[in-house]
Amino acid sequence: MGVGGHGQTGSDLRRIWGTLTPADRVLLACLLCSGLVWAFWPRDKGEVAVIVGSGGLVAEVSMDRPDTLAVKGPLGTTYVVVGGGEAKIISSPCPQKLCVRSGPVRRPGEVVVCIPNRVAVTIKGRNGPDAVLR
Amino acid sequence: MTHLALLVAGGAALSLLEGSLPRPLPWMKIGLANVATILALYLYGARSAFSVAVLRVLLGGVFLGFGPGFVLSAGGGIAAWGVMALVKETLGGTFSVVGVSIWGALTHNLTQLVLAHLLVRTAAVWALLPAFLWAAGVTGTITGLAADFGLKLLRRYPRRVLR
Repeated sequence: MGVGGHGQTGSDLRRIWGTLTPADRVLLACLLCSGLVWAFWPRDKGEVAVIVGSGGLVAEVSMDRPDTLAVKGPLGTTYVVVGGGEAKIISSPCPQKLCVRSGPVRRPGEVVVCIPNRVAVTIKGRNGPDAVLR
Repeated sequence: MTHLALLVAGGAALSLLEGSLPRPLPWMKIGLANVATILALYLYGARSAFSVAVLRVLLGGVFLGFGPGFVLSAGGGIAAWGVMALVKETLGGTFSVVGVSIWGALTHNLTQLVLAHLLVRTAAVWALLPAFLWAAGVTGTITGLAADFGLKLLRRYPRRVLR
């Protein structure tokens, strides 16, 4: 006892759990489970990156070959890099750079979005956009 | 009135403080500013909470600009107020402060997806739905516990201080 923080953390968590009503617990459990099921659901390898800009579909490119795409948006140009089975936004003229910091996407159904510059990159598998929802 | 102004300022301060905290995911925010809305809801009622939510969003806009981020923050903040007020009034005995806060986080996140869908004009953003649901559970709980702590603290003071 008294070694490490585990005992302390455990009792804190128990106390917090105790303050929740049964309805609170059901709601929380549902939300957490939905995220975990999604994160660990087995999926195909991503094959194609679908890039959408403010004017609609910009390109669908295979992620096998390295390529850089310049997508024009209301703020300027967003650069999307594909290759090695992944796609990422490497630069964008948005204030917070959340899209750049989101990092690469690989698996079908994953998406990285730059809302200020209206650019979205979605991954599709070999079987098209529904691969995830089959 | 003074207390509502303090809550608005506190909410804005919390959201600035939150900007300096590390984030597990770049787009994930704890939403501590929502603590101000929840405190107003429980201490002064739904109408006061609405004022706090609107003023807090406007104040955030003054600091961070009125771009797409403001649209997301305004839509999320006001929709969250609506659902939290509704849940508290109708199911106040079923859900605790934490539960109400989770409903608020859930509404906030769903509203942001709808607005992101409209702004980027692609349904692709809905791929983030499960991640956003999970995040609502985590952030709503943290915010709710913070609000619960704040309520217990404030309720220790005599009633006249809270008028």
